[in-house]
Amino acid sequence: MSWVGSGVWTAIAGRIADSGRPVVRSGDPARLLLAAWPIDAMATGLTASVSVDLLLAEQISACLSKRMHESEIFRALADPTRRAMLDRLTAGGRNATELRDGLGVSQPAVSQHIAVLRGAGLITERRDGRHVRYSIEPDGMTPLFDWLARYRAFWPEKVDRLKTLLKEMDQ
Amino acid sequence: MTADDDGETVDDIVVECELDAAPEKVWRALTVPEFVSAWLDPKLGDAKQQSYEMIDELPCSRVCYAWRDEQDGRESTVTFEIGPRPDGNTWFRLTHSPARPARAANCNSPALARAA
Repeated sequence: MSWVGSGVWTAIAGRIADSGRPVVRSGDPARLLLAAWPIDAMATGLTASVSVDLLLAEQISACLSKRMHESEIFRALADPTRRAMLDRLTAGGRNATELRDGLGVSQPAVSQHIAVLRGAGLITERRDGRHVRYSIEPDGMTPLFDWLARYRAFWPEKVDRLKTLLKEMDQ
Repeated sequence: MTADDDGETVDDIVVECELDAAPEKVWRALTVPEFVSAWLDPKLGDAKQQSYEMIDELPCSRVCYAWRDEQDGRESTVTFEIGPRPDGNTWFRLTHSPARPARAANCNSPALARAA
């Protein structure tokens, strides 16, 4: 049985982890394969394919007070522009103008993307003089890890039961 | 694998393996409610934590379930895909996407419309 998680959120999570927060290694032989970062991989220095262990469940559950719907996160990450913005923020806080710079999207569009990212709990804002500065919310991916950890444990057991059932079923 | 609005692949949990049974038999295990319940539902005495509802099927090829966590009501999408192997066994792939069923690109039917 193999586990393959190709992915946007896992890749971003890895980058968030790399940007300063320690990642607890699970030691589990099952690993997530992270697919190629879909945007500007060369420019951001991300390698085409990396594999990381998942966050441990205890690290995840410690942050559950900030629970968000993982589907909201999923939706937020489904957009390449928002991923690009998030990727920029992993390098440090930016204001809206800096976030928009070079992305080729309008200012209202950037505002909307920011709202979606904030709504999903992926970024936070802080007033900085006349500007608002945005940064990565380090625990923003926690609900997704929670979801992932739960179903990583869930499905292998179920598939084993499916195999058992198939043996017991009549042809 | 699902595709988002931009046609890019997005990420899911995927379990892929070979099953030691013919595709037709596997198909029944994945679609006949009694069989599905036998392997997917909690064992007797354990609390039920998930519910699921078939929302799309392509016989002997793919079946899609709207998945719901009872604890917090979160919805996601589970797709089982199968295919014949030369040795008579079945190739099996399970894809669990955190995307809500209504937006699942894997399923071409209006998601949950039949769940009412």
